[in-house]
Amino acid sequence: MRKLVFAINTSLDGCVDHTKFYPDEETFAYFTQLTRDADTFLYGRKTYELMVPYWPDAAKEDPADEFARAFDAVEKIVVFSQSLDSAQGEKTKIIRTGLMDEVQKLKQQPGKNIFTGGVNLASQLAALGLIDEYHFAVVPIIVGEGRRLFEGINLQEKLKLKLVESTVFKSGAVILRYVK
Amino acid sequence: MRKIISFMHISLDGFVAGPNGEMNWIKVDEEVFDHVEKRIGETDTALYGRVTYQMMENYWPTAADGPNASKHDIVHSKWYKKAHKIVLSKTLDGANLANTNIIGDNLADNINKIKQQAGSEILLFGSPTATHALIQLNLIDGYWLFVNPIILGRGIPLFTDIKDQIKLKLLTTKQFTGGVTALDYIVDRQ
Repeated sequence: MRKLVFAINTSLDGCVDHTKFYPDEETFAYFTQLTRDADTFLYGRKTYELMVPYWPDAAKEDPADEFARAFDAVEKIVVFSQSLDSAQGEKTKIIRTGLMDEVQKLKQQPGKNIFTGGVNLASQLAALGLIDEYHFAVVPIIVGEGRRLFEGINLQEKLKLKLVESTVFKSGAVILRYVK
Repeated sequence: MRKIISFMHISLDGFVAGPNGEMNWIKVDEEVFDHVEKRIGETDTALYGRVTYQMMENYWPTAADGPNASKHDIVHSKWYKKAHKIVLSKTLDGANLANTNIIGDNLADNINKIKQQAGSEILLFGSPTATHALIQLNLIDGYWLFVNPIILGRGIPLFTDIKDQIKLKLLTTKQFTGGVTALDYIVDRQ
């Protein structure tokens, strides 16, 4: 069965608002590799709208943008949303209910990793125990306001993870990688 | 000038305790203990909030006395009895406490005076309420955080009501076999 991989940039205080701080080049390269290791994105509406059409456009405008290219090369985008009417392109599929079943079906298909990010959907996926790998890129800043990591998560029990690896980048960003 | 370093165990989602103060998820094994005790041993001053201080006071002075005292109990008890203690509290009466300063008001002035005295860095042990007050006054100079491999979902956050961004410099990290990662930062005031 293939893996569902979650990755996110966060400030030290758990703010994940992408307008408050910026990842460094090494972190971008790390996310590019995670993207290349996947052939499917799983997004909630907000993350989907943040990424599309921004990154596919960026890939057209600047073919040297490695992350944009990796993003554009992913074969399938699955958006879990009740409110999104339609999505552009043949590779995008909207699902509205039955998150658990849909994700399990996706995981049973052959292929590379399924890659997810964001807050709302990721909180649901984590609470359902569906995320197999967690990558946190901790940026050395305390931000204060902004959306929080796993905001609104509804856990029956504390979610215990296993640390696999920690990697330090020149900027002081630390990647913490865990498995379920 | 002496630095105040916040020494804290946190969850991956940034909580220092559960909603009712639960701390039973914090992993302090021999490996973590040996690592922290090295830095603590080089420190001559401890800073606490009232609640943490009272917890410490109930345990450490006699922790080495029992027949079942661990290495951790013996080492930290010895250090605790010798350390100079600063406690932030509006209610405690410090008149009869040896080697202990109680700070009840004028927090910024009093802490800045202590920072200008000679001595080692000052470790702020746990104490979320005191930590929040000191962050508001821009008095914390570094964070020494032990990130536990757990998502709590809710609880008491380490950082709250932050008004201005605080830039940090990462000094070191350390990964422990039990799954904890230590992140050592100083506040970048430039």
